[in-house]
Amino acid sequence: MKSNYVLCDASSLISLTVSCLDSLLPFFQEKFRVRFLIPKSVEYEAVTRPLSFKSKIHSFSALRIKDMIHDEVIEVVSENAEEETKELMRLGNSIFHARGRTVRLMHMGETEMLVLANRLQVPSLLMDERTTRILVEDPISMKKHLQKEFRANIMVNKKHLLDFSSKVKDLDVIRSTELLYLAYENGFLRHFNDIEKDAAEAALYNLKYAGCAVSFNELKEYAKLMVR
Amino acid sequence: MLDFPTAAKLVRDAFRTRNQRKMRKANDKIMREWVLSPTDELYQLSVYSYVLAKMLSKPRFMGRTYSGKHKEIDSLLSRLVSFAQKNNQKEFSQTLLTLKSSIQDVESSDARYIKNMMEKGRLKTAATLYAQGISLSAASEMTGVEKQEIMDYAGKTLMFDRMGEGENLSKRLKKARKILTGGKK
Repeated sequence: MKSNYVLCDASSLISLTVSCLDSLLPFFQEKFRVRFLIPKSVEYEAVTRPLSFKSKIHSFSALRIKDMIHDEVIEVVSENAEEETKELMRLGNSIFHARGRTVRLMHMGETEMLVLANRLQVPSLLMDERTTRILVEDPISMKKHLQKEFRANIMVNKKHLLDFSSKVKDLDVIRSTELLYLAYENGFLRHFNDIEKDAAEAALYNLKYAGCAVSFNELKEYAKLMVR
Repeated sequence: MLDFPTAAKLVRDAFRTRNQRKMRKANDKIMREWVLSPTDELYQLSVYSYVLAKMLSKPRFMGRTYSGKHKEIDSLLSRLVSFAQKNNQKEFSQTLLTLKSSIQDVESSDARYIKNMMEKGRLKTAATLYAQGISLSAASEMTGVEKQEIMDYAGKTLMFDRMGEGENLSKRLKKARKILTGGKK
């Protein structure tokens, strides 16, 4: 097990760069020797593709990530896991059923992260996307959520759920807000002096507004922990 | 199950009565159906019903200047219903395209934003999918909207407060501490 490795998906890189908090990655790399990995598909999604847009709307974020790859803060890994990814996606997409039809929640993009984490023996995932994280951590809350959203009874294929869960049971998913909080604990924002806590709280909100899947309740909890 | 004729009728009736609330409800129903039966036609109907609801909510688009366009849209929606009832897929799709350009015409005469209503409709549709529980990548692929844009939109909504949070925060931080600092504080 590579315990100091973290596999990052595109969603976390997006919220970190959009909120100008991508310097968290070199902070952990330098201070705790954490190694951040991305598969080629994430590099394409977060760097190559946005840089091809004429509007340049996401270019700055993409360039910040490109720069971190250049500086070896982020390492790109070449690994092909297409078949396993398809299989896991097939399982994940056949767990929930509404009105006699399958609710297809998962996509190759996020599923590949789960497969690669297992294959590379990197059990830690940095992911700000919500659906995949909830499916890994608490699939039953997804059932309740789907029931509310579709106003229908959601049937669960228990076998597929168990099979899916057994394949992801060793994975730990963290979000960019956890990264920020721990960086704060370790002095990342110390230069703010007496407004350090305010800066940390504001930065957490910044990550939320950039799309990190964190609730306002959780942000309040973070704030309480900071007071202690 | 919401079939094409019923979906098209919902949109036609809401627009014919210039009823924004009804149009929003039509949009909700079509969206829910589209997630379960993802076809291109339902996707387009979903986006157009959102855009039409927006249009109905804006007095500047509902004045006399646009009455000709409104009649055109009424007529196109009636044709949509008719082609859907006859199961004429080709004409249905063709009419959807004409409807799209009619809707775009309304806004292009008074454009005020970089992102037009149709693009906003696609973004809103993508964000709604994500809010319903579809993964970010899947929502992005189904609608052709960039992840960045969906995240930016989602971050300013309460969607992450409307669902279970997964593991509790102290457990999550403990785990993160182990991963990122080797357990050191």
